[in-house]
Amino acid sequence: MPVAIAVGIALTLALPLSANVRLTVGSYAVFPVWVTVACFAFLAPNARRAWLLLLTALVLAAFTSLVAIALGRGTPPTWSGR
Amino acid sequence: MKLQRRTFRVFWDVHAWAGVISALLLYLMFFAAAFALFHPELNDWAEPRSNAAAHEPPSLQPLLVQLVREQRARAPTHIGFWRHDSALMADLRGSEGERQFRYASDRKQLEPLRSNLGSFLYELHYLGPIPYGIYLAGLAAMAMCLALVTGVLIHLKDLVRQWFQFRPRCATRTWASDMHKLLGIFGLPFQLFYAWSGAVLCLAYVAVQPAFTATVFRGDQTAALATRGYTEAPAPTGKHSSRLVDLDALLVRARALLPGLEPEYVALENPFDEASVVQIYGTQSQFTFGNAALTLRASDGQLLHASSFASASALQRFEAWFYGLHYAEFGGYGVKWVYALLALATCAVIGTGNLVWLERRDRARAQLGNRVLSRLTVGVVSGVPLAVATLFVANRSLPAALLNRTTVEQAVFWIALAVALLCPFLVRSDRRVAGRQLALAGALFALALFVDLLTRQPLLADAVQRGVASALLLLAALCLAAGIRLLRPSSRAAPRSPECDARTLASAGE
Repeated sequence: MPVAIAVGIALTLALPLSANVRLTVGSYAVFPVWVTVACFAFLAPNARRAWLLLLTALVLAAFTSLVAIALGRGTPPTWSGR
Repeated sequence: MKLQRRTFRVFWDVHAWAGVISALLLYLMFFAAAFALFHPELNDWAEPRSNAAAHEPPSLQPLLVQLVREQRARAPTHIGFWRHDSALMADLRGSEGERQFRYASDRKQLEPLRSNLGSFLYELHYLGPIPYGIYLAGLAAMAMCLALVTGVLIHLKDLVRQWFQFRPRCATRTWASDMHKLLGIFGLPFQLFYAWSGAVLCLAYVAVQPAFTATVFRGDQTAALATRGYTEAPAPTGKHSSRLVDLDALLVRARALLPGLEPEYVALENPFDEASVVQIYGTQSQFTFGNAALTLRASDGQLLHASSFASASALQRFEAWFYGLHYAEFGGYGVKWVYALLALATCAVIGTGNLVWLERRDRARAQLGNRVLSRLTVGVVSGVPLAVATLFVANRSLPAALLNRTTVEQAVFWIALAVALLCPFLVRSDRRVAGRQLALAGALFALALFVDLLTRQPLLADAVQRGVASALLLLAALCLAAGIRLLRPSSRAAPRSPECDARTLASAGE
């Protein structure tokens, strides 16, 4: 679930769409992303690989979010426009 | 598309485990969902003094004056009026918790609620009456998402064939598997959407939104709420105000501000404080899922906040559709009946899923875990309809003047459910217990209908009464048919007969 939430936040901050559409996609993608991530994790050959997959996805999502924030996206005034 | 052998095996196991872990909770949630769709009508029907009279929507101001006069000692902090086609309800929160009232059209005043059958079944739909039930419901919905997606993946290769295959005369494992897949594929869009929206409704508020507020909005709760079209009600100032707001005048003003507004919920926050506000929620009939909300200052009627579908952002429009589809706020009663039938079909998918698990893994129920699962499945699948039927009979039979009538009704439900869950552990034959409990549930639904018809005058006078009577008749017929079928000696073809044998294995994906 933390990975899915991190991916949702990354989508909200980084997608090249208007602020409200990004928020819509990001916040409502969390549960579908969770299902997808869970399916891939179950397919991993062993538990260590599964944890590694989850950790990689989490780091990628966090890095994307940080880059997006550094570029000035995600501050509340952004949300005034549709 | 055919999956690799290992991928197929992994998804098969995930599907089976996610299903069996969440099945019993999901069964309760979907069975209650069929009733939750009609909860305002059921509340109206369940009220002992309710005698059909269709009434014009009353003015709210005299009712507010009555509540304030009678309930002032409770120091109300919130008074809400909730209007539906056939009923007007009020809720009041104060120093002694929450109280609910219902408008009695013959006496033209509010009276304490004497049955909340509809609201109870609505809350049961998300396990509200159980401690932390809403979070359990959210986890069950997530497990359902996983079970559905993996179920589709493992059957991608023969999805169309499964849609048309049902062999009721074959062995239990075969017909249960056929029914599981047939109804599962038929109801797939409904089930997928409800699993997703259910997980969002139950868990997003505690798991997703705080994380988004902390990161995307940098902790600004007001900005996070504003994007969804909500505002926080102003905090009370502590300065007393003796002037009572004129709700009817504010409703006229709200209709002028948002043409076509049909108010459904009117809430007065902190009625005796200078910072008191009136919040009006409703719909604009010119839009599909046209939700609208207004906040007006109680002292002078000044508009503090307004949101309507016409001025809504992409997020607000998406949410109006998302929640509107979940709550069946479109298409009238036709859509609600279809939803209710799909919810009952989902119950069948869940029940047969557990049966397939048991027949496939441990037909003789040799392992303790499978014996317990088998008995719990029988208890829940036949016990939930029995408990709901008992609730309906209790509602029609208990004296109208009984003190704490709502509590007694709910106690009857929980006792019936507990007994029904216990019975399979006391009697050896699961099939016989399930048959008896379902037949009894059917008889009780029929009894509730009979008592209702006997005690109500004029008979079947309004649409609500006719609708509930039809539903009780349908439930009685379904439960009796299922119960009698289970009680009859099995006359199925041998599992090794030509009709069942070859394709049994193929359909099980082995």
